[in-house]
Amino acid sequence: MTCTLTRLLLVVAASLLLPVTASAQAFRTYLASYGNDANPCTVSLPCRLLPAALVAVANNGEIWMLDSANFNSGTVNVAKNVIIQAIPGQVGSIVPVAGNPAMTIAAGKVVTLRNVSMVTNANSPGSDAIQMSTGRLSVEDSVLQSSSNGIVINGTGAASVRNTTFRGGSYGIFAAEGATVSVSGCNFAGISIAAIYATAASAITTDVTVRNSDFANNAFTAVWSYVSTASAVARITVANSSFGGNGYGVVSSMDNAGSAIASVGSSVIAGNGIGLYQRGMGAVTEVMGDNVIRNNVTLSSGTITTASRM
Amino acid sequence: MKRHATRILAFASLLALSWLAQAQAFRAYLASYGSDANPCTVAQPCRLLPAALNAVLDGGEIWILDSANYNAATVDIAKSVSILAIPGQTASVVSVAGNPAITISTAGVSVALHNMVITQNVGNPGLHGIVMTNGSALTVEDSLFANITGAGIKVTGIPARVYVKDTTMRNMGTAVDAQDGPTVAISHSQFIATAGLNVYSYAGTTRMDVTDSVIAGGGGFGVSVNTALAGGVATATVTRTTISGVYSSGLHCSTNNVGTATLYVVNSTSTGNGYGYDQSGTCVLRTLGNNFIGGNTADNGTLTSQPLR
Repeated sequence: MTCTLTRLLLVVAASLLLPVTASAQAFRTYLASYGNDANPCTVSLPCRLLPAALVAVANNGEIWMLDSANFNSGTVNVAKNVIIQAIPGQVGSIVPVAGNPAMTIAAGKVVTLRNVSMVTNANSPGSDAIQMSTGRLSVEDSVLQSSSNGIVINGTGAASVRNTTFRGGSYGIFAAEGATVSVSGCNFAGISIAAIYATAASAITTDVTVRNSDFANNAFTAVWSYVSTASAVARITVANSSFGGNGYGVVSSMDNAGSAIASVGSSVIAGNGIGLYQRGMGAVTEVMGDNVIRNNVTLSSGTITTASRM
Repeated sequence: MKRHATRILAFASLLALSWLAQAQAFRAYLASYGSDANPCTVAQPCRLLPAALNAVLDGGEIWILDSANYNAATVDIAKSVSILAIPGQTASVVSVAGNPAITISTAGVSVALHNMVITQNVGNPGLHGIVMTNGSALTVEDSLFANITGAGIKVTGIPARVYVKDTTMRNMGTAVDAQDGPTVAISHSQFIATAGLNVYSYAGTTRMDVTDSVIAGGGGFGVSVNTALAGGVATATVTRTTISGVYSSGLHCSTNNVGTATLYVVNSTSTGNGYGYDQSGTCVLRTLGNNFIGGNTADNGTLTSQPLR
């Protein structure tokens, strides 16, 4: 009798527990080239593609890529707070493909990418590497090489980008409509329009800060703040960086109205077409008086302001 | 007689073997495939940090051989030790159940962490990353702190030396919180979406030097220097560092008109913050004339010019 009761209790307990276990989201989920999306995304039974790991991971959790492979087949829509990283020594690839972005981030979400490669699929090129509007994005130790843009933030979101390389495409970082971006230790090369572009088309401030970064051989501009709307503010502040081989180095320009500011200090601007450029009444290109600006085809165009230092 | 001597030798051998079984090694090893019943050798690694801490000598090293999580609860480090994940791997230590991931509370110990990830178990959140209430020194290199409710590193009430290098902290309550005694040196590090670096003294002397770093975003201060009682001395220097997008103030320097607080700013940028600088009370905010402080919503208080020499 006792034995039967014990068995019954065990069966009931197991039946209650199983559905919970099957649907429970883990703090950390795993991907691998040898994984399978039918797996539970554990370290011993990893999944294969990011969407499966995103379903399996808890909000504020982590996804670890255990080996080097590509981990998406279409746009990855990230709709929870999550850290996505390839373990050191490996590279996790997320490709823009078929005219679409590699990743979109839902409004208000906090997402970190670490040690990933976002290079467009050459056979079926995609668009941007990452698109977001609000929320918060960190990108660290990664490579972004899209056929369109690296990171597009169109809204009041914030991004920090560290130790990351941007190659090719139209814009490396496109920051608009109140975005706040911090860039440090990054390389921007071979970008056709602007390595970093800050703009606003309404009464809002877009703000980009750059430190310890290199801008090389970008066809048109390296950093460019631009507005054309009343009360719109676009601002880029650069320190301890180098500009070489770009069409334009540091640019502020405006049409009609608004305020575009590009400030540069403690930096080297050499070997560009035009080192410093300013156009329009509301545009300010300012130097801190401690830059090395030499050997550009044209030193500057427009009015260059020397900012006071404190 | 000969037989007796043989027996003595056998007994001595047994004693030696017993001692060897319990001997602590200069280097202990952990791996995802380890077991805490193992001796923590490279061939038979342990699974969790407490076992490796028992197995390692004071002043020894713990090597983590592959990527996994290596604690189930707070890890109290009570001996001098270096803990590192080998290059190419990532070792996680999580804060869980309202507690810190790591505590250091033993006098005289020096602890070094290299290539570690300190984060929070979202299913059962902890509080702080590392809490140091005693000990001699803490070094953190090439590491990542993320998504922690409290402070990444909290050091209070001791004259310990703390070094943080090439480390990222993001989405934290506070990045580094130094109070009442420690001396902290931070270089080549990044603090994202977190209340930044706090230097606070009720009593004793607290110091922090920040170089070549980035503080971006976050709801509190970038670098904050405070004293609240007459005996407190708090000093910070910020060199070649960018502070941007901080909701409150990039550079914060305050006293309640008691204590001695000083913040030096050298060749740095404070932009896009609520306040570029916010000085109040008798705190002295010294700038060396080579900083860019602009593009902030406002500034408050007084800057004191400090000549370059």
